[in-house]
Amino acid sequence: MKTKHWIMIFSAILIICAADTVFLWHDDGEGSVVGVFEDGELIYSIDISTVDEDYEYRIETEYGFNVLSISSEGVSITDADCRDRTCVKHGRLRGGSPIICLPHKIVVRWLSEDQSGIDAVTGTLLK
Amino acid sequence: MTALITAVSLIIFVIEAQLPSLTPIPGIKLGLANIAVLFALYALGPTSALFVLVLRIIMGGIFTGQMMAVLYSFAGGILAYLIELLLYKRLNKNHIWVVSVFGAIMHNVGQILVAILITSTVQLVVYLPVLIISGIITGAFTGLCAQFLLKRLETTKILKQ
Repeated sequence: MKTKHWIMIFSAILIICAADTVFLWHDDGEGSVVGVFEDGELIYSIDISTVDEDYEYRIETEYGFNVLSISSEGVSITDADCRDRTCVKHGRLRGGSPIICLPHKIVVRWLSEDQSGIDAVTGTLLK
Repeated sequence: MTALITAVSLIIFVIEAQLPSLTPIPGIKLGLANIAVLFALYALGPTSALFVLVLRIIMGGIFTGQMMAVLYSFAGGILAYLIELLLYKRLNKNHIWVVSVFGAIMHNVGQILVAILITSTVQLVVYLPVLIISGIITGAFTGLCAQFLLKRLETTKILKQ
């Protein structure tokens, strides 16, 4: 195959992925329940529409800590002791992409309707 | 010769590791050390390239003090190597960049797979498109570097085959 054909193929893939990314990142919400997972297990959840006062939830794992700031507007990780602090740089939780801290195995994401069978007001979880 | 290339790859890797992460997305980096692997693949052959890759991953992990990342590097690196192995005979020296792009994409796919397994979070797959974009761009860049490098060195006869 000629070079320009390869360029066309990759450009097409690039554009598709770019469109997909834009689409995902601006999809701002599937409800208002946020879930915090450690190593795949739900350890905390909160329905942010019920939050009156902003507060912080400190996540402690065996690898370190992350501080999750929660308000009625959204959640974000505002502090962590992991090396690259990717989770902090992520900013507010968006629709499509979860906030991840790989070294601590923490994932913060929206919970879909069927997953949020919890006592959303007090933030305690189902188990 | 292989050892020399490995050393160069290691140095590039360690230096690049000192740079702060460009984007908030985990795993996005230039991957400049792979220029050496691609170069070795086309100039010296698959065994040499594999040697460069594996040794650079292990020693890179030791030198940067990030042994945890070694797991991710292996996942990405080996997958990338396999697809490069598959393609390098079919694509000539003017298309090293194409091989590199496939390698980079597979590298990122490998990393997401490991991340998904480790964190037990399938949702991480939403990062796939972004990592593919990154793979295409960085793959093309490093591939072109390897391509030009090979072209220059061939004429100087350092690489007697």
